Amino acid sequence: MTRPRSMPSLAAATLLAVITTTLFSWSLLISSTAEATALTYNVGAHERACFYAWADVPKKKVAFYFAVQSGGSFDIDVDVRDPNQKQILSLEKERQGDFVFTANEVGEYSFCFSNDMSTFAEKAIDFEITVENEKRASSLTQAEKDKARGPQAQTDAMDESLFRLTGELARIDRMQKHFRTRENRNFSTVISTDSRIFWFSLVESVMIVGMAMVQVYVVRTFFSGSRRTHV
Amino acid sequence: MAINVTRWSICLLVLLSILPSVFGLYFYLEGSEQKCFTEELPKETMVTGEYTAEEWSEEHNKFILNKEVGIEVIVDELPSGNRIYSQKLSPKGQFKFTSAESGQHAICLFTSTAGWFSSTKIRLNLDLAIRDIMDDATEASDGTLSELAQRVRDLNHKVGDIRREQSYLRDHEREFRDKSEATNGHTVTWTIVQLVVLAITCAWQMRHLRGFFEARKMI
Repeated sequence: MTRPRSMPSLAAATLLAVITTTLFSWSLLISSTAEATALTYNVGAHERACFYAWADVPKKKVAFYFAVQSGGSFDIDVDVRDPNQKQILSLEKERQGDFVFTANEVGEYSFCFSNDMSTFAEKAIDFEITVENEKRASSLTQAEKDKARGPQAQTDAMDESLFRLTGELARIDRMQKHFRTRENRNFSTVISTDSRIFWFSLVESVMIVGMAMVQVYVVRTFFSGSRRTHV
Repeated sequence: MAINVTRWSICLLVLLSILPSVFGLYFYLEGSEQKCFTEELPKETMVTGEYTAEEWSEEHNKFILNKEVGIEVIVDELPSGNRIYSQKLSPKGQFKFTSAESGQHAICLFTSTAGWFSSTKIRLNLDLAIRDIMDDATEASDGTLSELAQRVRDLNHKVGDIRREQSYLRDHEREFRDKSEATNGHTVTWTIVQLVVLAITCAWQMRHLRGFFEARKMI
């Protein structure tokens, strides 16, 4: 069953992406460590590939990024489910997405890519799943605070600038991924243009020659068959 | 009260028994199924992969680390199809390889112990890092790596990733520009070819018709 792609769902997806990216940048204000895995997987035609992440503690933030790098019309169906098989995210024919959601349940979260719309095109999907552990700065143990050494003010200042650096680098990384995806699409367009120029020129030449021959044949039939009436 | 405590502890035990040993991204392999990942690598880059493979055991009713299970890792250079790495490894460990040429590489993982009709289900945790993680291990060996130093190290890796991505993008853009210019050249070439074909056809047509009418004594 496929839903027709409608403007409201596109607007909703964009709004969701905007909200979640702002939430994501907010979440970087508190001390956090994250486990991220970035992979590129080729989803074959009519294949459904699933990847899983485990949330051991509730209220963890899960960030999910994906972008179609090559193949067909650069779109894919995405299905994200929580441990109770309830759908968190369901997208059809999306080119790329950047979502953050809170993992309320403990258990296995599944991220599935489905390439049903392609008859033979294989799609390369670049995706990254990050599970963030949020650790409030105040919960650092006394031992960890002692390990920091030096005046507390200096450590705090360094802490602060490291946060900003992490945030900025994450933004640069996202922007780069965005450019890479677009660049792949542009490349694919140029290859398609080149191939079209060649084939259309060939077809036109063949048609010119064919039409010339047809014209000659028709003129010949005009003058040979009806000599009695015309000449 | 005591019953509640035991019930909760049983629930916790059940939950813990199904926990994966490592948190991170994982996926399932059925039988001898192969899962491949592609990476664009610059030349002479070391890639390290850390993985943990757990097998579903019917008797324990959970995924356990089975020493008998072997994971085979194969790395191929995509355009040429050269196999640059092929190893059978233990179910939990690390693999490293260095790319020879720059370009697309396919990293494939599958179980080498499963036969054609085997129905083993394997849960594979995977983490790929495009850098040599030996440096991390030596740094953290004495265990006194403070949290700040850890974060700085992570930032360094991130910067390395960004630099690598930039140089990939620069090379790819050069290829793209060459292709664009070639396409531009082709529009001119094929149009000229078409015009030539048109001219020849015209000339042939005229000559043929003139010959035809002269033969009929109409010209």
